Amino acid sequence: MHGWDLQEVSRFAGVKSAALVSAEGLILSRSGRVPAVLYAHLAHAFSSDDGSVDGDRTAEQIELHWENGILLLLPTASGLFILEVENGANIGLLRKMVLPISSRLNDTQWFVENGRRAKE
Amino acid sequence: MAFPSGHGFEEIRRKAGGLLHAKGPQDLLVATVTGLPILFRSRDREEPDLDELAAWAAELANLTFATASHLNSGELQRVELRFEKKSYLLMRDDPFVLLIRFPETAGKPLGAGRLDDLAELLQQLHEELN
Repeated sequence: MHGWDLQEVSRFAGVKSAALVSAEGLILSRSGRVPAVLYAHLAHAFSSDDGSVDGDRTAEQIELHWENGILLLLPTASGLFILEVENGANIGLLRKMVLPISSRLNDTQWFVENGRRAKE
Repeated sequence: MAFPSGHGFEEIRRKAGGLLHAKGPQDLLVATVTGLPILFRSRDREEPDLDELAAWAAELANLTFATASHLNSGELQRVELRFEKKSYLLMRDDPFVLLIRFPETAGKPLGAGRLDDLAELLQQLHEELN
């Protein structure tokens, strides 16, 4: 399992927990405290037409702001990255660090096979 | 589109217009949580399809704020969405949702002071429409 990728993400400054969820809402990998049902719900919402505006484009980045933190959603070809981050975290930098991991995941045969198994 | 009218509402419209400046927000929309447009200000000459925009804002607000309520992390304050060329800020204060659209040249959407201005705007709207 590519849990180490999520471990890597969760060690970035300001990240409390991280998850990668498929477009169907299946949790493919996670690190730390993750409310699984919520993540699946969000993944489904932002991986379909429901999350788009201005034509058919899908948002590149979604931030849900609370008083005590931010839930950062990054739709990628590998699925939806969901990061719980602290207020004041450098979100632009986090995004730059997470997206290459997504590309790496997407290129691996492991991800294709396990993603398929997860869907089944 | 027939928006609410009256002196108090005109004052709110004027304040909303003041939030739109050269490098900041491009459009400001207030709608009901059911998707009915209440107030719209823009510094663009072309107006969008307000019914469509209001419906989208309401749908997205209902989705995110309802989902977020499962988190037990306190009250969700706002949602920021970044698209390829534009970004959006969404707030919900029942029965209203407030959507701001930023041009692609905008950096970080809004500072704390401006967020307070928006909260005040919504509060005045509550009072006026009550």
